[in-house]
Amino acid sequence: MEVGEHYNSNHQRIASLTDNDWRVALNKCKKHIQWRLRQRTLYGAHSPSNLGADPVEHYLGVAYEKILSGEWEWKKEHSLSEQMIRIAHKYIGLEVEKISTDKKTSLQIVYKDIEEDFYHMANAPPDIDESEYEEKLRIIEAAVFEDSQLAIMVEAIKEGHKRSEIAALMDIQPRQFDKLKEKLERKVKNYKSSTQ
Amino acid sequence: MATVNARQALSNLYGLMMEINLHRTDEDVLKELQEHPDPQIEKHVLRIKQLTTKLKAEATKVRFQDAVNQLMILKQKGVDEIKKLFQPSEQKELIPLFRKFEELTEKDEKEILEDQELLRLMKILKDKLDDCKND
Repeated sequence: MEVGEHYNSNHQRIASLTDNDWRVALNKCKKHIQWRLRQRTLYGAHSPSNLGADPVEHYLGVAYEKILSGEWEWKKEHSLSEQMIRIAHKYIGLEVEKISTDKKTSLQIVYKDIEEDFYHMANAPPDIDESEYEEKLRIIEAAVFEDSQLAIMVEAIKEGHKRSEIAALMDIQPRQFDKLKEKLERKVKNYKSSTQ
Repeated sequence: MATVNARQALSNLYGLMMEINLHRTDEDVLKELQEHPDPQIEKHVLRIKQLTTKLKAEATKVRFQDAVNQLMILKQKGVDEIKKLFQPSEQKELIPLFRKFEELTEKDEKEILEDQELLRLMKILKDKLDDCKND
């Protein structure tokens, strides 16, 4: 691995990090990669055979290697978690672009509002099978059918509302809304196991 | 439901999950890791330490090589020629540093990299030469 142009400035901040700072960033980045890969798989990319390795392992490594080597600048306005997430997010997007266009893409593009980009829809390949996604959505809707709070949440998600908007719609704080995510995951998991 | 909507809805859902994840507090994450330790995370923490050490050695090597390359260029140009780039007042301030520069062959890698004054002179000279090239 080569030393990049941001090595010195990055390591001025890295020197003060604790193991727990790394654990938090790794955990959040790992979760982000898992969701991002699921989103990107909607467009047919990211099977392990495309990358030659476990994709989560691959992108998690990329996220901190770019900071440690100084190839990517750790921007002062970002926390370690956010910077790692930005890097992983970018590289997952590049992999999709490479597959869909078969061209090398520039690493210079920077998403100014990364949260906006979480909701960005890529163009789907024309031959993609939609039935799998219809079935997934049907399971989610059926799982929350009897829970009015979660049903509202799912409807708002379908309409494309974001975290703070849905929280406002439900008249709760965003932090309270975050707890509903666990409830939704639990409901879907329970529904799946009850119908198998 | 239209097929496009199903995919869009799932994409929205995964986007929302990413946004919620981004806003998790350090305390929540550490609590989760205490309750459910993740061997994959621990493996990467260890790898980060190893990589940091490895890169530190590489950075020292690169820094030395850069200094040596810069010295070669400056030596080829000659001290008298370099002095002409500076105003007499600047020369006065830098004369003690020029002496260090002339004695360089006596120094080893460690000494060069620890000699902050010498590194400062090399940076000044490099900037000056770059300016001359751009003029």
